[in-house]
Amino acid sequence: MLLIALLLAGVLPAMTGEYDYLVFTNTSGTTTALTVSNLSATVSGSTLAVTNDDGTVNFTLTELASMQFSISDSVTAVENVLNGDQPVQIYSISGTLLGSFDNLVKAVQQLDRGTYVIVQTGKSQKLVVK
Amino acid sequence: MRRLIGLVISGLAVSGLLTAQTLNIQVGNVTYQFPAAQAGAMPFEGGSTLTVMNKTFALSEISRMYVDESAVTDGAVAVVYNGSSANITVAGNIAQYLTIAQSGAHVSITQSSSLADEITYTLSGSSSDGGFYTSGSYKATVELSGLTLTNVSATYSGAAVHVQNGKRIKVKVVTGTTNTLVDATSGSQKGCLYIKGHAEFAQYGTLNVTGNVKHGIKTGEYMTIKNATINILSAVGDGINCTQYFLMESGTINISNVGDDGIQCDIDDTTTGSTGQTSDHEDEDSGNVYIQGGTLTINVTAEAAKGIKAEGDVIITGGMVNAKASGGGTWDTDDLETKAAACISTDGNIALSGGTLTLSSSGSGGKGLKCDGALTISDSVAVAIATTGGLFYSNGTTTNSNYTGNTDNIDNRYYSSPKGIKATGAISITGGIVSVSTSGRNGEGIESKATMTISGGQVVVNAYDDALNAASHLTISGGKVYARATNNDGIDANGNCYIQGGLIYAIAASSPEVAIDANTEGGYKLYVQGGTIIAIGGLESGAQLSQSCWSTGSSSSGGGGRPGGGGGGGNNSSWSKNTWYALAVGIEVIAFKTPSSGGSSLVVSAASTPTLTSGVAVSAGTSIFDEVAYTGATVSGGSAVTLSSYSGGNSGGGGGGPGGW
Repeated sequence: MLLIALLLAGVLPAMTGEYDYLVFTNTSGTTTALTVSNLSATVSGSTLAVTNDDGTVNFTLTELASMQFSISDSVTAVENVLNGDQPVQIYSISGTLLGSFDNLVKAVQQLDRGTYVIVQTGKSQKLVVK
Repeated sequence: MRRLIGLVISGLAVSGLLTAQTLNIQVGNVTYQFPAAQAGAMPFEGGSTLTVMNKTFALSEISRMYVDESAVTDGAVAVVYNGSSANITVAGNIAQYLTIAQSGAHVSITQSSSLADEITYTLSGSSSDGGFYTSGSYKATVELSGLTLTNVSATYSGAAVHVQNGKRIKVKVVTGTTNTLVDATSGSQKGCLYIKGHAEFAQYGTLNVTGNVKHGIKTGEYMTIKNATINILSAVGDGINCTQYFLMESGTINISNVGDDGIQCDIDDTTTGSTGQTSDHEDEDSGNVYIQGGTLTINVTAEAAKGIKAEGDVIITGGMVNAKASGGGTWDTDDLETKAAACISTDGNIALSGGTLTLSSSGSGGKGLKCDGALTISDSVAVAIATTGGLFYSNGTTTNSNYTGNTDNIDNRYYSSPKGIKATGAISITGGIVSVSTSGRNGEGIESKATMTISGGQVVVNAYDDALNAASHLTISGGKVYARATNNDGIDANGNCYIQGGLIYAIAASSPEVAIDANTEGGYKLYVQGGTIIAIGGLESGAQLSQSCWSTGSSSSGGGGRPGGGGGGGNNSSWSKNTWYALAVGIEVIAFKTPSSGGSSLVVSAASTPTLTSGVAVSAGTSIFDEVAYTGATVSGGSAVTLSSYSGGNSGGGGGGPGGW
């Protein structure tokens, strides 16, 4: 029953990795986060034109340093937490360590509703508990 | 409950439910797919390149980039053929290791030597001029998933599918799909489907192959098949050609319209030579062919072609083998001797212990089974062989496919006789059911150039020449043997012949042939030591009869000649043609039908004094010898036949007649 409740409550879907943004960083360190919904990009001459549901942004290729998927509109180097059996640390969105747990399940059992960041062996993952 | 929840959530996380977006980078018709979770930082360099997961793209070559939620399987490459083009999809984790070239629907993928993960190539779609070529130094899987591919231009290879990796290549003929491959009519490809390494065919799909230059399927190393259906529709060379070994566990193979052999398996390392069979076939290079299950149907028509040809052994333990060889003989200009067709031919041994073999050879000099080594038949195998070809003669300049001359004084390089079974080595039959018929001149039923031993099973031979012939000693100690020759001896040993047990019904042609012969002239002898014997045509003179024998004629002390024959004395017994007789030995009754022709005497022998009744009606019993006899028979009517003590063979030595060797 508790499992069903968790599923209905959206805890498990909330654990799926969603990279909602593609963040472009230019050579000066400035970032531009674009939502990935219907995102496509083409190169035309010296310009990279990126189009998504919000419109089109043109980047000068020589000024681009990198791009990276992100779960937020900034580059936080989040990655999937792939192993549910390994110890995890839970952080608040503001970066405060809330606790360390033996595994992901024990962490979820202790958390209130909200959005958190899971860190495991140096990798991070957004977690939403509903 | 907490533990259950923990396991479930943990399992979901590990199994990849943490799905994410995928970055697709299109370069021409190639789409590279990078899962967001794997992509990491993707640096641009100098406004000219983009690097993703160590794969560097020239920005100028990128047609488009887009993000979707495509699922990406690590190590996967998909090629979808569509007319004159093909679309290729590459998983991001292997992108850096692949160099892809494309010309229309011809695709070439070169793997880097640093690749350390197996790639699965999934090929589908259709093209009337396309091909797939890949090379590398790592094992791979090729999935044929509804692929119809005809190669015309031979761009990267003339093969329809060419895998240059010299490693293990799994070929999955995807269940539920039909795949058709046709190679180019030009080019130097060794096969329509060519795999340099060893190929393991699997899954339940169907693969149709046409080889326009050489073989249908060629593998540089071993080949195995499990479950799949492979149809070699035609090939200029062999239907399937491989080295090391060929193993059929299950599935179906149909081979027809080939210019050479059905399946040919050679030893790969000709310098080192055969390893012989190894445990689990580890590092095996035997040239062996193993049939363990499935259905194998081969029809070869070329001169001297073989249904199955092995440089090593052929070992059949199960399955169904149907092979027809209809090609005639030929003069081999390399070996300077005649060669003839055969359903199964080996340089090594043949071992048959299970399954069903139906073999038919109709060409001049054609054979059913032929091996340079030993032949064993055992356990539950059922073998039916029919050869109908004539005697082949050629001296390199003159050829006769139905030679009728006497071959006694002809060098054996100049002729090939049609035979059911021919083994250069020993023949041993301990079980199974063997049925052989030959109708062509010189057509011996079962011949060993060494010894022959029968200790079990059922052997039924109807032959033009000797039904059973051994160049050395021949021993029957058990089993049931029917050996009828219409133009020579029923059973003929060129050494000693030992009859020690079993049920033997031997029929010879008319005198001077005998039902059971030994090489008395050569100083050997027929020994009757046991068994139940029915011999139409009598026994070789000079036989040592440890077990009493009786004939249907008057008693004879024998002379130098064959009993009942014209070679000098002997019986003058008689028997009725096409008549059912009952031989009672104790409580055992054996009913047998006499042939329409045969030697004039009828000799019987058993462990105890038998009785013989002629003209009986058979109402029950166990049919043997293709219903020419019944054991445990229930008979009625008929008239008693007077049996006289037969000692015709005891005088030893002498005797005329060719003996048939």
